[in-house]
Amino acid sequence: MLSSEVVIAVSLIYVGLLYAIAWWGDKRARAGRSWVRNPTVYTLSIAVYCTSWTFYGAVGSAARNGLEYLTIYLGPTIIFLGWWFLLRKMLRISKAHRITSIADFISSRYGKSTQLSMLVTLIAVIGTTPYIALQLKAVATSYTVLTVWGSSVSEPFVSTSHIFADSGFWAATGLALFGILFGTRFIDADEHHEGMVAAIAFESLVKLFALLAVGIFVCFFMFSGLGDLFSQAAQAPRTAGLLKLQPDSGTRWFTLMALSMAAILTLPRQFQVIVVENVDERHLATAAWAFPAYLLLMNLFVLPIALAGMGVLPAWADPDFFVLSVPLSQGQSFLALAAYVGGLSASTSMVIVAAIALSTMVCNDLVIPALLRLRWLRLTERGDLTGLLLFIRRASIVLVVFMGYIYYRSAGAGDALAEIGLISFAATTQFIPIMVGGLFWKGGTKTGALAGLSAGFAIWAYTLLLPSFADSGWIDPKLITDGAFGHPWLRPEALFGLDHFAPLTHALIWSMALNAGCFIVISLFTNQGGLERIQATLFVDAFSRKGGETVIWRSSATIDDLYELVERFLGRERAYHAFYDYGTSRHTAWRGKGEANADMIAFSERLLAGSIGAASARVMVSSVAKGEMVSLDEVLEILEETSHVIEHSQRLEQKSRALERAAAELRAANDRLKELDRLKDEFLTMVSHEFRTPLTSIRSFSEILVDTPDLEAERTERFLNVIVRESERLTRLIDDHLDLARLEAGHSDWQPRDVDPKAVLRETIDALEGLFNSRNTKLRVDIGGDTVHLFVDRDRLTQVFINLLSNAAKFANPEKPEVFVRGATHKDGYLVSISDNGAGIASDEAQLIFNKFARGGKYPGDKPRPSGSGLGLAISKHVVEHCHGKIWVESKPGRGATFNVFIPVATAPVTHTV
Amino acid sequence: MTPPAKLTERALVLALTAFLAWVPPLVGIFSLDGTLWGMPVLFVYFFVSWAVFIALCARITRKLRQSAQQAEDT
Repeated sequence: MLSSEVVIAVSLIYVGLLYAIAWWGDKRARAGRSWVRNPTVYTLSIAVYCTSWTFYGAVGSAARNGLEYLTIYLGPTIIFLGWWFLLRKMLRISKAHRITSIADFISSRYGKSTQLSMLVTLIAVIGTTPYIALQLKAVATSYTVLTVWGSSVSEPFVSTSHIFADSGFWAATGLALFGILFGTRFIDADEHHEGMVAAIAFESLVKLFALLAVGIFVCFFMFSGLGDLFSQAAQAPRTAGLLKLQPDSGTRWFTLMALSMAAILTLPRQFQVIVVENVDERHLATAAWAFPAYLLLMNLFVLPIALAGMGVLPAWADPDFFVLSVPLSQGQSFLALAAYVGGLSASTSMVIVAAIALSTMVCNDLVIPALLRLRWLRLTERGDLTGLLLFIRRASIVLVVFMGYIYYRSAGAGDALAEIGLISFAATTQFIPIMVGGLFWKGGTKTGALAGLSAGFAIWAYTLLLPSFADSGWIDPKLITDGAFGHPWLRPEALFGLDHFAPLTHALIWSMALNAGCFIVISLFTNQGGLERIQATLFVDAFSRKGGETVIWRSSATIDDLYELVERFLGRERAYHAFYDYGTSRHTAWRGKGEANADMIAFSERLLAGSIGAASARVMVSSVAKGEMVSLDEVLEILEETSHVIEHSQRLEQKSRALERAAAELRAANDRLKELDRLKDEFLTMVSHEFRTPLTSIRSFSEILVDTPDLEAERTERFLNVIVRESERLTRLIDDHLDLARLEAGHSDWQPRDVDPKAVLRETIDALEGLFNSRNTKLRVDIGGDTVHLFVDRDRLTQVFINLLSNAAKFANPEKPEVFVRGATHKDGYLVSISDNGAGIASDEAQLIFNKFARGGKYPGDKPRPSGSGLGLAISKHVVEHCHGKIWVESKPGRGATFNVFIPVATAPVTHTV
Repeated sequence: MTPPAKLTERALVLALTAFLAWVPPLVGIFSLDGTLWGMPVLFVYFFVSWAVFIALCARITRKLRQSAQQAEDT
């Protein structure tokens, strides 16, 4: 047992030392020779994670649940092992956006939302208050243990002692003062508190060495090594169970692991030291393994101390203070005092950092936005605001620390240390879905985040905070046992009938399920605003873009407007330096009435964000920079970019359609070419055949004439006649052929003019009269109707009529040949029908007959082959079609055939193209 | 700026392995009677694995930083 004077003196000296270190750290930093800016100090400052909850509470937890206490430190270890993926991203984003707190971080992600930053701040303050209470309680209790060793320390001594006799009160006062001195000395643009970091790094060393000292004493002086300690513990029934996993601890294990992994990311003080106070991203790489190593050392002797305490101390001794009571029981007052200093440093560092982090949040995210909304304050028009800011921050520190103190005075006698800490952890764990989700999922919206966070926080308050209030006797415990309105489904610790989990696991399951569920579902059904979308992209793609600056202001602010605005919040000197550096580094004007460009406005906003938070900075800048948030040009640019992409894809589509069409055309052309090729072969075969017949007869008759010189004259003459006839036929064939070729190629010479088809028909009939008479053909002619004029080549038309009439004469019934010619004038053309009474044409031949060399009809073998080239109808068809007319045949086998020609009245002169 | 994918994948696997190693059911496997070097098996398991993970992390981190540094220099 130590005298209270000694303990108080040591405490004061220690706190004095802290002040000195902090003061020295600040001084060095201002002189530009900061030794705080190195990875070791950074790592040690992160060790603020180990509070008195670790220093005292871990031993207590080990004494109750064995190795389960490790989960609280293994979780952060895992997060640091995976630093490359989460912490590095948070750090990079925070640097780019000058994030000052976790509330700032979350609200920035969701479009710099003031509502969200307020909600986060509220949750953080409510969640941290019990934690601060816990630290104050630890200070007070450790003092009592040290000075009145032997009394039962679990009695509610706090409420009976006078406030000024309570060491917790003095601790709170001292800490608030420290926070004010080193946390809010001035308003800085980058929120670095070098003195504070130096002090807490020192405190981390002190608590580590204190705990190691106690551990080494216990293991190697009280017992002869770890083996001895463990073998003795294994024999005692109370402690033997602690060496193995507790039965049925699976879900609790998972819960604690999840909570601690979340806590290292979301506790405001951890965010402060890991992210905000970080000066160099590379320091994180060292902390990635050094901080887990610190945690390992810190935890190495926890279980041995707990086992030793349970072995040597009476059962009533509070295991939460074994670190003190074990050395005391061995008469080691000095060691106990060292342990007390270690515990003191663990408590004070937590309270200091938490108070500063929360005061920044309360000031930037709660008070300033509220004041900005009170228009009658005319805050945006006031002069120097640095004084106001400092006052708000200092008041916030006092408020935060003393809220903790009040909680401790009224509820401090309740739970064991570890349980209070876990309730705090569970509160800040509510940030995880929107924070981690926001880092990796662009789709999360502000509305979703607000809904998720509110739901999670409400469940937390109902399932964890209410029962702890009931424990403290503030509310009727019936609410816990019977549920709200007496409904068993609303029991806080068995919500909706889920009653087979421990209260903490139960709360975590429901709060996380509702939190993440609301966040995701509502995000999917709501839309993001413009700024939200930009911020989401900047956060999620933090590594894929350079700088990460958002230049989205376009307005008409002058440079001086901005300068004065920044000056009001940062003070004359800092504003001057910031603008001077900006102007010289970018070679642009930084004072004057000139119009500020978008970059400068963004720069000012970031400067302000560093001291009053992103949401408030936005409001302040918009008060001077009246204008559109995103310029029309930029929006158009974005639209243009998008439409370019769309246009491009449309063009591609069109192209592919065109290609398909071209391919189809090519396929068709190819088919046609193949068909033409086949026709050509066929044609050649036919032509050779047609030419061969007259040639053969010419040749054979000529040979006879040559071989038999003494042929009688009569036969010679006959043979020569045959030769002449066949030659004529050959010539005609070739002529027709050339004619058709010309027609087909469109080279033939057309001389269209006004023609009366009736006259042409009449002339043709007259010309062919001899032919009809020679065959005794009975010719009937009926060329009636009105006179019509066609615009065609007269000779060609005659040719068509000759072809048709001579065909009719040829194919008419040989016994009683009859041909009937009719002409009819229609209103749009002239129709000529020429019928014979011959054998007719089979219907399958009706189309083929217009092809080259096709001959209709079946000729009896004894009849001579009709003369003619076989090209007449083909030529006629070409001529008629050239005149846009139609030629077709109607026939019934055995009853003759009728060839019809219809030639329309041409509205325009017929061109030479076919 | 980006280190080889294999390196970052190793870092991720390290963190995942640590998580799986420290939660049930794997933890339960090492919850045995008896001692190792005079200490309970579970106790040894936690601290030895902890130390091993820290060493591996330090190794991977050094390489990650080197490659990030090289990328910045070039």
